[in-house]
Amino acid sequence: MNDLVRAEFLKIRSVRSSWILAAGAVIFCVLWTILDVFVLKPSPGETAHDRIAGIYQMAQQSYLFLLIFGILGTTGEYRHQTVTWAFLASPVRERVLAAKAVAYALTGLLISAVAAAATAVTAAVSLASAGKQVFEADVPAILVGCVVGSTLYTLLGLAIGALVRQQIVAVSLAFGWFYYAEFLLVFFLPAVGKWLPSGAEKALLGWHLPGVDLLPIPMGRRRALPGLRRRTHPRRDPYHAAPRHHLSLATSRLFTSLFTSGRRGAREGCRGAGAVAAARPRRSAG
Amino acid sequence: MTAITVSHLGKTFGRVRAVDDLSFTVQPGAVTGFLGPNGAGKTTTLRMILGLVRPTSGSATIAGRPYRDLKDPLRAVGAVLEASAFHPGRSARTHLLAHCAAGGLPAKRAEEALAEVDLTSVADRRVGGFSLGMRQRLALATALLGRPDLLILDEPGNGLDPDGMHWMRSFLRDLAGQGRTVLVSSHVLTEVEQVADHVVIVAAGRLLATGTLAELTAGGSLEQAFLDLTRAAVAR
Repeated sequence: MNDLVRAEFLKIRSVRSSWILAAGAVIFCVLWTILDVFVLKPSPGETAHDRIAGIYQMAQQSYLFLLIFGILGTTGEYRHQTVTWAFLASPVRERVLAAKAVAYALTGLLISAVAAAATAVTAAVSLASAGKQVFEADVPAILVGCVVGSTLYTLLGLAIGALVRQQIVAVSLAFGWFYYAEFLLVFFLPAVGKWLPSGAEKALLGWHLPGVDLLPIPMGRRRALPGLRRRTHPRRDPYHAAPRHHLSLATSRLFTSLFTSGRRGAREGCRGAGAVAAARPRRSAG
Repeated sequence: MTAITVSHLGKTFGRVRAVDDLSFTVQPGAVTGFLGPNGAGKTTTLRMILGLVRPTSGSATIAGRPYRDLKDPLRAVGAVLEASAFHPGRSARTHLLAHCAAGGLPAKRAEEALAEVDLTSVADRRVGGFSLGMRQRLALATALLGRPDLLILDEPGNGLDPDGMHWMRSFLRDLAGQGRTVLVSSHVLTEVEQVADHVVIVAAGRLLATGTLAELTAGGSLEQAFLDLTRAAVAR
């Protein structure tokens, strides 16, 4: 088993796509953190804690890169037929798949940890340079939740790639499903959405969404992760509760901020684009 | 003990009977040519021998065991099924090192295998830039990593130019000279004729003939014997 894991690590290291996706995950997190601090406007009624929590939550932006990293891990084997060599070296296929899962989970953990660390440093430096409060007690819990969530997305990508072996189809389906379909299900059909990966991820990060029932697994709770301080927050309306990690929402916010002047203008512009799409994404750490 | 025993092997894909009650043996220390027209079921049979395809019926064993039950498969069997089964962004050396790691083989075998197929000078080039002949050599190097006594090669000369064919013929002769067991499927009958001791001929998934080259050709050419047998099978 160790030999197979070692082989998988070598295969991961030896292709450029792994390095490109890892760099993309880190850069994406850092850029969105900088944008959030310096460009995006605060939402109406947003507390200082919400703002800081939301900025550090940008570490979650790495998840899409890791999802694709996982998908390429299995679809690449079928696309280039290298899976034949793997099964010849180890005819017991379950061992090959288990070794791949271990290697990808550990690599995903490393990449998401680096992305979270880069996000934290960028957030701290940016907030300090902007003369704002730098830290909140639940920031470690947020970062750990982001790392765990992104690592799980790596494994999810591997599984999707094993089921949908066509690389382009698998990446397109995963992108459409996790970026749009699940997002809608979590918010508009929460009875189903809470059991889906996106719903579980939001529960992991300790979201409180009014009218949205999530699984009781917030990362910030003392019982779930000893040593991390629990914080409670009042539930807020969906306007504040929309997920900030969603690219379309973040992009919407960016454009709103760029093309309107001042907080009042930004709020009006946001509302004009639709209540959900214009929302200032916010999490509330549990 | 026979090197390979195929016993009443059958495989059905949907309504297509790709291999039908096929039985033959491959003797150790000999080169056996596995011949048949396109769609005869050669590749499916080889994949069943190597545990990559599950038979619908019958069995295939290597030294008395199914491939899946071999303790150290890369040291027992070297196989080449697809000459282009490489990640194009990976170098030849890295491909071999990964295969060494997966099979529990020492990393130095990668360098030795590269030398055996004359690819040392391009070891760090990405496989995506390799010619078909270079890929065939790399595939053979992969099969040789574990120094196996048994080699299973599916169309190793496919798409090779005359230089490549010459190299491949010499290579197979060297393997035979080392006393290794080789099962090689091929369309190029003249090439097989020069290296094979035994021949197994199949068509439409069924066995047409098996025996030594001398028995099958009976003084004529292998090509003529092959055409007579396959035409007779089609006529039936």
